Amino acid sequence: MPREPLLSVGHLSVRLGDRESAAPIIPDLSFDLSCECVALVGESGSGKSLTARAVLGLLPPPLVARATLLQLGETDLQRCTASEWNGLRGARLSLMLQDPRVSLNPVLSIGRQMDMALRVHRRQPAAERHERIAEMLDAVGLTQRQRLLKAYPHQISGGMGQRIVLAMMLLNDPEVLIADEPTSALDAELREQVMQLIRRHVETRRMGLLLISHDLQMVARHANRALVMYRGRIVDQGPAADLGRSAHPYTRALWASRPSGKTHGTVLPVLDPAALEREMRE
Amino acid sequence: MSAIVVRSLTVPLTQSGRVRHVIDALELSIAEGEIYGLTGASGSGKSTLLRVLGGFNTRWRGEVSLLGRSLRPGHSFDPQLRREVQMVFQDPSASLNPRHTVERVLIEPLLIEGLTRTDATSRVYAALEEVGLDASHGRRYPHQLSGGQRQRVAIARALLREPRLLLLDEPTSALDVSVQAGILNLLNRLRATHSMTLVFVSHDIGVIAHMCDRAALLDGGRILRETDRAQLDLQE
Repeated sequence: MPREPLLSVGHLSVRLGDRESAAPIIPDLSFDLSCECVALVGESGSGKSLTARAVLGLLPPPLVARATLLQLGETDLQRCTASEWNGLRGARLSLMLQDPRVSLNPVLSIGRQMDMALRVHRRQPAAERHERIAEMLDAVGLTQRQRLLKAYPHQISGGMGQRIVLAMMLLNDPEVLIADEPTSALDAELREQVMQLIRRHVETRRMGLLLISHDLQMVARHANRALVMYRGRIVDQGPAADLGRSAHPYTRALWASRPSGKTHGTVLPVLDPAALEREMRE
Repeated sequence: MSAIVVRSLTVPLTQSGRVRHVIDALELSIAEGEIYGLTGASGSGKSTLLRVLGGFNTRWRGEVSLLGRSLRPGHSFDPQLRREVQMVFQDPSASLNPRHTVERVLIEPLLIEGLTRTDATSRVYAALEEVGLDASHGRRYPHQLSGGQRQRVAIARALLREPRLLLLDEPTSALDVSVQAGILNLLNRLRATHSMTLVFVSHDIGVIAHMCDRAALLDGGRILRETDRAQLDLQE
């Protein structure tokens, strides 16, 4: 497997305000992403989504990101101007969010917004654009194309919406896809289908996928590597398939607190922050 | 004895002039003291069924009896049943009044019931302790609590009425797994100490398998499959 990183993040910090004295929400975070699926896992508030927003240059003020290295291929993301960012996002670096009803524009038909996603990034005859859209809808397993293109976001189901968002994100062949809880709003069965679909496309297109999820079991099934975040830091990392065997107390607690048929009649382990901090210091 | 008996229950829904059956001739029987799970895809009818059992939807046909008493469609619960059947909703921030402190949220139903303020207050703080919160939480507003703490308040509110039947609609799906674990442990403990029947709706089959004695998989408003404990044990 080629190990040339598609995305490099070095010593990223996120603070509330520009001053050095401001307490960091993310103190110091580094990782590389190649042609693989790397998962950021952790509880709500651990800084997973904030990391993704910082990489995309989309931190809401007054949050400020700093890094010694923030690079997509040959491009230094920290030197990008606003218009260069607009050329990057959705073309080389795409973001997929949890809820398709939030990421799709409610007043535009699906066909119209997919067409816009192409037109924003390159000049190309309408016929070619239509062909490309048809090809992508096929690729994510959506039939009944004509009806779908005329539909508005409120007329489609969650699973279908998430397939459309994926098709839209892949239209411009991005190098890196950031998927922030892409399946948490879906039913269990659909979840597995959509995740397999994302993975298949990432593999065949040789893209990098940064998957953000709180579901460790799902990550263990689908990701190559996992970075476990706790209070803005990566506290544990390794092959995703080994998450269940991690020696780290936080990863262990997160993994074990997942209920199943096997845990019936037992008291589930509950995370005790004080004990955890003590154990992590030792 | 059966806590819940449902015979050929049908819940119609009129959508743009057409009538659709959200629940379609459903049969169900749940024994007293049981934890019964309802699972299925969105739109399968699990929440609608729970809303009929909770008395929030009275537009149905068929036979429903709760705790040995027959319900009549179109009629709301009598005060005793209203007390004995309690519900916990998915999103505690939507089910707690944001302008009232936790104490006020919890004490109001007791004062309406006719308890003196002193008695009601002591019962409120006992209930908070039972769900793992302390007196300081009573003086806070819902937005000053975490998601898990808010759900504990919602459970305390249900417990205060001393219910015999507790209906839970996705009580942990808005929470982190580590917080969910605490709530599930709490529910298991309360069920043992309060001898209640629990109906637990969740789309998470892992949660159902951990909690329930039996469970039903709903599809298109009918029970597609009923599973017992031996089958649930196999659930990863």
